[in-house]
Amino acid sequence: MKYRELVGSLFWMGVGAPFCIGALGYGLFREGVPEPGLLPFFAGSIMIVLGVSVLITSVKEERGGKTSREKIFPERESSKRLFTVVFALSAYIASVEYLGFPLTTFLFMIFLLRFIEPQRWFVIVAASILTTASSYLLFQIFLKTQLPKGILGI
Amino acid sequence: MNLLVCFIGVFIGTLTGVLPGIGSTAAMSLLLPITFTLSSTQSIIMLAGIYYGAMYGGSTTSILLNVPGEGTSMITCLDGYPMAKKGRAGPALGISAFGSFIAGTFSVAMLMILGPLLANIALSFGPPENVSLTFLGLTMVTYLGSGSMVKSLMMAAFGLLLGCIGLDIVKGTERYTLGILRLRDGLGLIPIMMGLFGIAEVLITIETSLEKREIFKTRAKELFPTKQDWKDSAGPITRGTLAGFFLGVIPGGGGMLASLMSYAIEKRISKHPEKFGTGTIEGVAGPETANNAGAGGSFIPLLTLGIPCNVVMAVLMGALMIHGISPGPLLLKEHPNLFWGVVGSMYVGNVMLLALNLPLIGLWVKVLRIPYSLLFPLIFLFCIIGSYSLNNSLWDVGVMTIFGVLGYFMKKFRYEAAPLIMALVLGPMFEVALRQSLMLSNGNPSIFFSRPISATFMTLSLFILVSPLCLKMVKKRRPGLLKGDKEF
Repeated sequence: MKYRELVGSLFWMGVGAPFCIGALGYGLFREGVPEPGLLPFFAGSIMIVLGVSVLITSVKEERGGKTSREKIFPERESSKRLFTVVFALSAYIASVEYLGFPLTTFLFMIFLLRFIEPQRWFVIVAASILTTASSYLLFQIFLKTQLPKGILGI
Repeated sequence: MNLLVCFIGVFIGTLTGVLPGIGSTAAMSLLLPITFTLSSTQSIIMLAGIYYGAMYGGSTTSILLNVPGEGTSMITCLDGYPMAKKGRAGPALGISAFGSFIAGTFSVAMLMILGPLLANIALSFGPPENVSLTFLGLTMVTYLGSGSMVKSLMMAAFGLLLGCIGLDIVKGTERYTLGILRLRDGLGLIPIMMGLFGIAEVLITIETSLEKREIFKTRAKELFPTKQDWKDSAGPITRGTLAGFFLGVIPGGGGMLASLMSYAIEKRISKHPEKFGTGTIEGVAGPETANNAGAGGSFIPLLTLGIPCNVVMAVLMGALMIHGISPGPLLLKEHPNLFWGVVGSMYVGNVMLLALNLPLIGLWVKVLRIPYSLLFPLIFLFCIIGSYSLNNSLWDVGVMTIFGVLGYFMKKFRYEAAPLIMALVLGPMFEVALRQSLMLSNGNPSIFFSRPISATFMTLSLFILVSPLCLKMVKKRRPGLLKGDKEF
């Protein structure tokens, strides 16, 4: 990626800035006694200052043609895989309390095994059933973890 | 019960060490919620078992696959894999198991001797010493990290900021909660670790096609090194043990640095340095021994000073704190059962590992044949269940997912997660000690330089922070004078 360092430094400066501003609101010192804003102000300032340093270096390197041309996503499919996983995890979070742990886990496994590195349907279904059953037995029955029950009530 | 827990720990540790794509930090983060049902001693025994088990197991994939199961076994690939190609996978695996056992035993003995001594010294530390020691620890982690020091410092600062979210410990002020009730208790260390180490690792691994790899076959009877192998390995094992142990004790050190250092030493003093990289047993014995000695050594600062010297120890510290125990000089006095329980289990664990690693090589090779395409959804599932079970809340699963994606991009943009986690763990303690110190001095920061121990730590930290910049300036003025110095 052409502007890798530039994007990275701007992102972290953007993270540090609101912390710094917030810290001023909490106060830094009062009559020689440190206030709750001291450490976040100090840490946020470090992020901004170092972010500027990375930014300047990246601009210099860009001008000198020294920047890395390595791609962020090594294959065409890479970004698709990332979004597929994030989608699967988000869908899991959204549905597990309604559908319950066993059903959501079964669907989650099927989805990942089908769309990330496609397997034969027999393998997908068998692995999903096995994983769901064994994780349910281990966590719900053996370790007594309170997993969401959902509409199935199990 | 402690023995059973120790066995489960070292077994899981070896398993995760064998499996590429899931390191000991990720495994410990994932399994941390399981340990909540155990006592604090059993919990720490199990997690410690996972750690040194992973050190042992990591060598298997390095030798048989040329893929390090653990970062600490990376250097083992250089000579381990060529040895396997020459049909000498057995002696390579054997010498790493024996070397690891010797190193593990040495570090346990040193922990028994040095632990109480250091704890007594640390009892005299006040808030300024604690601030400067923590500062030194964080500085060393950023300095000894594999990437840019500036980026590591940024990540340490980000870790401190994340640690500030929630109720301020000293005054009870709400900070950065955005009105969200759940944020009053902070973001939670475990979901962040699971995201950065578990989810992010898997995302990186699955972004390219998961092709099948070639595994070399080996039989159990071929595992024992020959007399000549022992003769060649005696020196590297001794040097690896000593160097590894002392590098493990240094904040920021640990197994990885120890194995790299050992390989460099062996290559430098060898009569045949040209043979390194072609399958020489010294190149396996030294680093494998050193990484285990380093793993054992890194327990010392945690258990005696309360300073985790690497990210794995930070996870252990998090586990102890969840069980209501603060590691530090008082640990030995207040929880002698825990301290000596861990020491004893480490020794027993090393014997168990020797028993596990040699006869079970066949099993580990079979485990390696499980395609990663079937394994990765399982890791995701473990992450989900692990983070959910912390508070029976999907909030933690959400935090884990967000930090998983952040961790993925951090890897892409070459920002290390270790300083972030270290700062997140140490941040709250650091802040309390910092504010106490400044209250003592009426806001005057010279307190950190007016007390001898604190001044030493601070001077050392500042030197470490400034030295790469000085080296860079020297290099700029006199190009060619310095080669291979650290990127600042």
